[in-house]
Parts: sequence; structure tokens; C-alpha cells
Amino acid sequence: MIQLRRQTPLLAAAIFWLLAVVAVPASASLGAGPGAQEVFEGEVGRLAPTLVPKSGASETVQVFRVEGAANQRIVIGSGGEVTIVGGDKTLFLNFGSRARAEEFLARRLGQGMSDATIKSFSVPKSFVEELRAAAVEEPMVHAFPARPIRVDITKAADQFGLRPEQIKALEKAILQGSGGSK
Amino acid sequence: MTGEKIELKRLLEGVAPGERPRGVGLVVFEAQCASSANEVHEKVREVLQVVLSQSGDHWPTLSTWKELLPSWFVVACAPEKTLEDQERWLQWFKNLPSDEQSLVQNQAPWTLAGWLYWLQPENRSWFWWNGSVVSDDILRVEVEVDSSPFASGALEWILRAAGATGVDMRG
Repeated sequence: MIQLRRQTPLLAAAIFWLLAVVAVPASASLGAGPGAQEVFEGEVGRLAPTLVPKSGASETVQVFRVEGAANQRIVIGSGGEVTIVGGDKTLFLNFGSRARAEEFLARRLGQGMSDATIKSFSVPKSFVEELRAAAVEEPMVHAFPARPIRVDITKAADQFGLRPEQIKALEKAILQGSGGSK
Repeated sequence: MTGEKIELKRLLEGVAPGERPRGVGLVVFEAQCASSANEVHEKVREVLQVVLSQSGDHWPTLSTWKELLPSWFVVACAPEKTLEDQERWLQWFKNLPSDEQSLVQNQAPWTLAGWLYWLQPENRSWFWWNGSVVSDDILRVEVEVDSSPFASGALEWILRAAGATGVDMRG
């Protein structure tokens, strides 16, 4: 089965879903839903605080976002201070791929979007690791509304949508003074 | 006029003379179509027209959406999953090599509830700008976006459900 999964992921996915549906009787599924939600919400409650960097974390990751003036979510002060605005809405960020940000910006400038800017700042590497562990994929976001969302993996590995819980943690994790824009 | 109404007008009538994209600009998607790119284009517009016509104060229930949306699209969506099923799938998916993850993402069907989430006005991440048939088997779609990165999966799923065999984001 393991070998099958490695060689034919789609077939394995189909089998996996089929087994999951067959293995869980309808009555059990209905009964298990709310219970699972309670457990899940408990996990989310623990997840958000762990996104705060552990003291002594030395490795950092640079975070990028290309945005325009009218819809800016990241404000960079003259001393590199970083402020997140609109923290109640999902914030999409690219962790670690300057190349992707540069490529995207170049195309937007080519379209005449002259106010498009790359905003950047740094966070401890542990923050990204926590996001990776907690993230869900785009098609299942409706079922896990508090978890970070992994997006656009074909362009860069670590691109996430942060929900309000993770944005609060991000605000604490940002290495103030590391902010920049281009 | 609300953003959804402007988008609906653009979907039905095309880009207005002098109209400029909002946000951070336009992103192009190219869809490879097994049969007719024109048919895929029309199907995508058919689905979006229904959704954008409903984006008022009252967001319909899932069962109402099943009646409103074209039956071919509803049938193409995967059955809804329990939270336990989705957690199990996620654990399996995260253990795949990244190339296999991309393959699964590009071919697995979405549930209707999962897709509708991204079409709710407060969750929108892209906005229809224009669609054009490049050749019999290539459809080009341009969308407005607010930032990079952004969530493009819901757009890719409509294209695939409508008959695209592959979807590439260009830039």
C-alpha cells in the first residue's frame, strides 16, 4: 500500500477516500462531527501561542509580500518597523522565496502597476515550521477556519494565508527593524 | 455599484474601455483543454455568473447552491467529507513528496462547500478580468489579485471541472 501510494498518488487518494467513507458508518460520522470539532478547536487554541518564537531562536526567514498602495496590509516605518493592518482578514505571505516575489513584481511593473511593492521582514525559522505543521490545503479551509492555509505551492514552497490567530502571533514574532520595501 | 456587480458586468460584457485593474494587477492563467477551449470558457462563465449574481447580503445554503449552479459543475465536485476524513487525508498528503503533492492538487476534485468558501465576498482572493480563447485547446484567463501570494485554487478547480486538463499560472 505504501509503495502504491508513492507510485500512484491519485489512485491512492481515491482508494484512501473510498476506505475512509466505507470504514466510517454514516451514523458514526454524524455523531463524530461535533466531537471532532471540539477537539480540533482545542488544538487550535494551543497552536496559536506556539507560533510565538522561542527565546534564543537565531535562524531567521525573510518574509515577502507584493502589494499595492490601495490594499496594503504591511506598513514599513523609516526604521524598519513593521505594522500589520487589517488583522481580521487572511494575510497571504511568502516565506523565504525572494525569487518568486521579484518575478511577480517585475510582471506587475511591466503591466504599469507602478505602486506595486515588495514588502519584507524577518521572523524566526521556528515560526515557519509551526505554520507548515498546522497548515491546511485550500480545498479544506471551510472546515478548518482557524488554521493557516498553504497556497500556490507550484511557485514557492512556503506560501501561507494567515488567519487572525496567526497574524497576532506573527506580530509578536516579527523581528522589528528588519522591515524593508522595494 | 458593488465589486461583485462590476465583476459580473465585466464577465458578461467584457472589460469596459479605459477600465484599469485594481489591486496589484492581473495574473494570467493558461488552461489546456482536451476538447474545446471555447466550451470550457463558456462553462466557467456560466458558473461564475451564477455565483456573482448571488453575492448580495444573503449567501445561499449549500443545498440551495446545488440547485442554482449548473448540474455538470455540482456533479463534478467531490462528495462532502467529515472533519476526520479531511484530517486523515491531510496527514497522508503532507507525507507525500512535493512533486506528488502538486500532482494530487492539480487533479483531485474539490467539494462544493470547499469551493464556495473561496467565492464568498469576504474570502475572495482573485476577481474575474477577462477570458480569451487562444486556440482550440488553450484558454487564457486573466484575474485581478490583491497581492502575491494569493489563493488561486478555486479558479483552477472551475477550469478543471469545466474540462481543462491542466492549468498553469503565468507569472
